[in-house]
Amino acid sequence: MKQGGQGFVVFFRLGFLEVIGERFGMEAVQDSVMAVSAFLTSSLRSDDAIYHWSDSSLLAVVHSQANEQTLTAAMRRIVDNNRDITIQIGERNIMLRIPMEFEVTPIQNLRAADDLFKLSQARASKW
Amino acid sequence: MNEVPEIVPAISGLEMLDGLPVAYVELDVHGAITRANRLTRSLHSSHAGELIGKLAWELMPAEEQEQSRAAFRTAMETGEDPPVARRFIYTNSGSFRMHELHRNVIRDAGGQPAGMRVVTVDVTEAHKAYEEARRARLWLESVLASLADAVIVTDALGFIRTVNPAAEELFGWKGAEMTGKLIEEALPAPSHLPGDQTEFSFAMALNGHHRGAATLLDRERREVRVEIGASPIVDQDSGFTAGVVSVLRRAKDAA
Repeated sequence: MKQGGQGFVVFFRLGFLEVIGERFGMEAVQDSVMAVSAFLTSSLRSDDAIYHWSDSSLLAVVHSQANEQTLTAAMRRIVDNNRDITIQIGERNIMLRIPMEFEVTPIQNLRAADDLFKLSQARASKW
Repeated sequence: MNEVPEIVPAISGLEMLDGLPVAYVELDVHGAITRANRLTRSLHSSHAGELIGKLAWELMPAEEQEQSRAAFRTAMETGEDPPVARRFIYTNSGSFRMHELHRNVIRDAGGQPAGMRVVTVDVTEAHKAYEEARRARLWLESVLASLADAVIVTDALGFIRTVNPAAEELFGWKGAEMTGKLIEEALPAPSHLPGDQTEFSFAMALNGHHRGAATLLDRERREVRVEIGASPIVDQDSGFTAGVVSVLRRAKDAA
């Protein structure tokens, strides 16, 4: 079992954003992503951080001493509790449920990948 | 003479069981109660003697006794723990309470089934709430199924959530085939429209009540001319729009 140690990066992919864009426009898409971000912020610990990663994804940096399996279970619980978000379209408030998938990666794995990348660059420059 | 120090006994098994916040009984191989903790005794009578020796299913309503006895007999024959079950149990409150039963088989020194341990938890209130919610859902489903007009319910994005049998009949699709699809994908309009004044669109209904007419394609790609009345579904708690309910009927001029 992998240990997180210093933390994890959790990548959240959001669904239905294309349909929201077609139905209600890009502003509604941005509002939806913001609403999901607010939901995740309220579900995670105060020292965890959420970043807007792409048009349809969010990235969370989670500080946790838990192992990868436990953190994945905690994230699964948050995603399963995903509640309706509300966005304003014209004068109406519309309730939507945005499906989410996620992927947990220990930060130390990213560091190892980064180290390997730097090493390969250094070697390439020597040759 | 030296005083013999008093030996303080460790907590006995029975004391430990008496302290449990859940009802616990042990049954012998015939299903007779051989042990009952304090909570079990308080549920049934104030005297343990009234409970010990009774067959467990004597505490259950008549219609559940045979099922319970059969499950017990199977467990004694196979040695397999029965699954978690719910049974009504008569208590000294003068009423039957719904209990969830967690059971496992007691084995003798030879490994043969010798009885059963049963822990029960009173789930009466949760069971009532579940039953009320289930009945309310069945009632609404029956109402929807009884309507002569086709009813299609979508969420706020236009994904079909519920379809009644009249809608299945009108368009030739099974409800399960339509559920989860965007309404325009499940019921597309033909590319050539026969000069409608106000074509129906899903977005119109999100903003308020809407009446109109539309030509849609059924499963066989035949044109179906329908009159539509659509309304936003407003969440009672928040006042926000959660979807659209559309009532459709074949247009009179197309009959």
